[in-house]
This record gives sequence, structure tokens and C-alpha cells, in this order.
Amino acid sequence: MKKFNPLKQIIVLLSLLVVALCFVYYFCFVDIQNKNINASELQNKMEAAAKRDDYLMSVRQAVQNSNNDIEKVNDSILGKGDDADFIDLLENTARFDGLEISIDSLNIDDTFLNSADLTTLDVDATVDGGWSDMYVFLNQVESLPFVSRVEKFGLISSSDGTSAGKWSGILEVRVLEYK
Amino acid sequence: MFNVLPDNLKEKIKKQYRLRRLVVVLIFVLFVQISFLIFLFPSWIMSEYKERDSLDQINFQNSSVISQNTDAVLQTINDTNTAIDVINTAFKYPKVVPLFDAVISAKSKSISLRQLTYSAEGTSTASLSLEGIAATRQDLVSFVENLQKSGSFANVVSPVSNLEKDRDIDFSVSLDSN
Repeated sequence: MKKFNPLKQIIVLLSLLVVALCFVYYFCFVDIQNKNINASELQNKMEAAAKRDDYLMSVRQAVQNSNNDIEKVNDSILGKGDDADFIDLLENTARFDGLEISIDSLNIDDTFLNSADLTTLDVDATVDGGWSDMYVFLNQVESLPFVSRVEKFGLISSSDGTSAGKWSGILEVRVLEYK
Repeated sequence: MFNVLPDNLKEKIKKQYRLRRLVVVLIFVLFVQISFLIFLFPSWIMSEYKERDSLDQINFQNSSVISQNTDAVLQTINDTNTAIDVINTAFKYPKVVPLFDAVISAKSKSISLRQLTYSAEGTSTASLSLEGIAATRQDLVSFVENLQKSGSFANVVSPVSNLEKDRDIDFSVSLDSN
């Protein structure tokens, strides 16, 4: 049996060690590189997130500063289920002005707005009374605290045609309402 | 001394030297590699901690109150913008009172209105129709001219049939707002 030269054995062993260390060195280097790249990407994300947070802080501050205005906008929209309150307001306004009012129809119209949160309440009413009272009522309807749109307003004289006589009116008003 | 050795022995000794030289070179290379690894280790540790630190900071940032409240803030802004947009577009219409005021201002005492009808037709236009009695033909013509001059109406239509009679004229006028 051939006996191995101890020197050759050492050379083989050393060569294997050198090759193995080359691999270890390579993997260490790649690992460090990957970790640095990863850390750098995370840093970039962090900086972007910090900028986003700063922006959000300023937006939040702006929203807080505009809270009163936002509340005014929200308050000007009829709440869900507040239909009766609006009808009461309309009737009381008319009666306060000395008019007789009757609500002819109420309708929730989802087709007018293409919105997930908002809809409209359509109110048709008939009013009877004097010219000046009608005029005051019309002014008040157009100044209601709710966002509304007068779709139709018609006045027909039920007397001899003079301004002092009795007038009959039809009112079609559309009010913005939360769904 | 070496020269006196037989050739085969000389060759054997030379081979042994070459092998030993190779061993020395390999040991040197091994030493260099191990030195490199030792010097590389602090870099590896630094990279490891840098990565962990960045991850911790990202996690902390993601769990911050500001980041968590983002949706609520954005929702408020979106809702408000939607509402303002609807108010400024769909609910914009020509107000009735100024148009009625313009009609009444154009009317003289000899014009008697018995019907006024306002219809909103869009965000910026509305139509009005008036019916009434004019004392004379000239009063009606003046009334229509006044309506045209008022600046509130883009179009004032008074049918010719309104002028058939010269006194107590039943008239109808159609108007389109500006």
C-alpha cells in the first residue's frame, strides 16, 4: 500500500483550508454588503416616513385650525334622519311669516349626487299668503342654515292680480343630506 | 556537498524543498486570509447592528400615533372636500330673489303680474315665466325693454301675440337668467 507523504497531506489540508476560507470570506463580504444595502434602504424609508409624518403633522394642524370651518360645513348638511327637523323648520318659517304651508311630498333622491356619503332630500310644498309674506319666506328659504337649492318656485295670484292680494305658491327645494 | 549526491537523491531533495516552499506559501496565504477575516469581523458586527437599528426605528415610526391616525385625518379631509365640492357645484344655482327683484324693478304700476314661475335649470342658469296684464301695449313694450336692460336676463321672449290687443293685454313672458 502506498504511503502518503506527510508534506503532501499538509499541502492538501492547507489548500482545502485556503479554499474554505475563500468561501467564508466571500460569504462574509456578501453578507456585509447585503446588510449595508438593506440598512441604507431602511434609512431611506425612514427619512421618507419622517417627511410623511412631518407633512401629516402639518396637515393635522391645518385640519385642527380649520375645525370650526369643517364643523360649519358639516352643520350645513342635514344629518341622517333629520328630515323631520328640516320640515319643522320650513313649516315654522312659513307660519312665522304668516303663510299657510302644506308639504306635498318628500323624497330621498340618490341619483342627483354621485356620492357614497351624501344624498338629497327633495321637498315639495304649497304655500298660501300675501305677496310680501311670500317674498320674506322666499328670502328665508334661500338663507336656510342648510345647503339647499330651490328647484322651482311659482307664485300664482289667487285674487285680482294686484300685489296686495292673496297668492298661492309652489316650492320645490332640494336639501343636502348625509346618507 | 549537494553536488556529490546522486541525481535521484538530489531530485528527491529538490522536490521536498518545493513542497516545503509550497507549504510556507499556503501558510502565508492562510494567515493573510485569517487576518482579513479578523479585520472583516468588526465591519460585519457594525453592519448587523446598523441593520437592526434601522429596523427598530422603522417599527417605532410605524407604530407612532401620527402614522396610526393618518387614515382618520385623510378621511376628514376627503369628506370635507367632497362636501365642499358638492356645495360649490351641484348646489350652486341662480338665486330666486335677485331675479324676482329684477322683474319687480322693471315693472311699472300699469303692469299687473298674476303668475311668476322660477325653475332652476343648472348651476348657472334658470328660467322664469311671467304672466300678467298690461294696461297698454306701450306699457308691455316698456316692461319687456326694462327686463332686457336689467342685465339679469340673457334672454327675454315676449311672443308677438302679446301685442294683439292694445289695452288690458294678457301677456306671458319667458326669461332666461344670465
